[in-house]
Amino acid sequence: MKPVPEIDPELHGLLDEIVRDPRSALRLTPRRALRHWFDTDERVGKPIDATTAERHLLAVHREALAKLLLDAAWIAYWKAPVLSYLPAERHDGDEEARWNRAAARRVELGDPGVLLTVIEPGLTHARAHTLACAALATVPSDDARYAVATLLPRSEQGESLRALRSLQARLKPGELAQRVRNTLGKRLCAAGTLEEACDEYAQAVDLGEGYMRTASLLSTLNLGCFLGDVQHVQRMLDRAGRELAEDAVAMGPLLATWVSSRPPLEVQRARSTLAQARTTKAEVLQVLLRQIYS
Amino acid sequence: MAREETAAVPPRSHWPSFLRGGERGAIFARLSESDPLRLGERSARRLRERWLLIDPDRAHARAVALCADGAASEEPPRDLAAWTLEKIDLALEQLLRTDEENERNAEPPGAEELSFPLLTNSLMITPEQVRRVAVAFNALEPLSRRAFFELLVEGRDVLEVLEQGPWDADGLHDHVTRCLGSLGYPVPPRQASLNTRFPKPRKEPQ
Repeated sequence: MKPVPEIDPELHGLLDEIVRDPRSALRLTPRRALRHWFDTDERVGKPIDATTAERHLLAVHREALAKLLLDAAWIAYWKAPVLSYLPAERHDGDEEARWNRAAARRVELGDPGVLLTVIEPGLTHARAHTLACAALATVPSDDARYAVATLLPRSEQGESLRALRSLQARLKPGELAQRVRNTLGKRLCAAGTLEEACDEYAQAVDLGEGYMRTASLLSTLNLGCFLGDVQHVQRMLDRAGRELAEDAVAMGPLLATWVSSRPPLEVQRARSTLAQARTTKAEVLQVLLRQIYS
Repeated sequence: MAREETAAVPPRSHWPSFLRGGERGAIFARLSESDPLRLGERSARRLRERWLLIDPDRAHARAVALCADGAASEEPPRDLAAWTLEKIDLALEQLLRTDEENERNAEPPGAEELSFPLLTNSLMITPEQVRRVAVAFNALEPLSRRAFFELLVEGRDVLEVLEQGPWDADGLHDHVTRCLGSLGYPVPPRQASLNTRFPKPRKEPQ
């Protein structure tokens, strides 16, 4: 039997110190039992078999086609937007030219003739909903479901509300959930159920940032004023702060059109409700609403 | 700052030679044989960065297909690395969405969805359950997934994870418990606080 080698006292002391220190690098060395599945070196250059290649190329091809159809649906919608706060002229006018170039390139690559049936007659507003349905049929996605529900004509209000509610019920918080709640607000408002609409807009406010947050906040504030709910208006003004004045001002004319369609007594009540709320954070919104109600 | 960095990227007016040729299948074969964009490595790294349970080989194959399709149908990008990362993220989004849709519609899993060695070999999950388990895990909030990846996949020390994360020991335990539950390993609820046993280390001043 070999004698046990003597450990240098200095090394022994060092090892002892390392073992007793819970933060030492030795103890923090990662265990690699699971991690190697996400390590990469052995995968570099590994050929992918033909079946996998075909499957993924086909999937990608369908995804690209679905995206083009969905983009086409929204371009068609923006030619005559219904129930939108964003004026059509604020929308990117070059989008259709870019869409045409991308679609033509895919046709050259031998993509299915369905694109030709879209390109040749052009993207007319009347085709928006059909194009969204085609996108959904090509690749089911929540974005496509949202487009199908939103682009339904106003004559199919009930169907649109049903589809939006079903989508909203299972979406995680995020930008799409915000858009869905905002659209629900618009549809409910158009149907005359102001309290429900006010609630949907309020719930949309904190789901995302940017224009949609401003639109939701201003809408719920406006409806809160019309409903005479001072506490709600005050709560919403207190939540304000990240809104872009430019976005709020862009919404002004469309909001003014809606307000002008309401009876004078309602507008008077909205004015009085707004006057009772106090804010130092959302002055732009308050001034804008005051102007619209005057 | 971001603008200056963007401006520093030289404008690219053509694709590199391995992405030229126009035909998707040929570009796909080239990319999968020699991986000049290092999509295998980058996809796996991205999975770790986003704490997602998707088989890295599958993510790689989808990223290769997207890059091949993009090279055939798009204008050359200004920044090839950013374009590649965009395609990898899109590949992950597509796979997440497809799995979620298929699971919701109770579609029978395809061969590719049955194979995920991390789950089948390391966690002994049956192949038929792989997609359900992965969909449930990926639907959890990012912080829970991060806790699971750092503690169990990366195998980091609990004190290090506590120090670097936004949680205390109780929070970390609850996040990991949630992940284990989604993987079919229910853990009994915590009976008492763990914060005394695992105090959150204070960060050393730099």
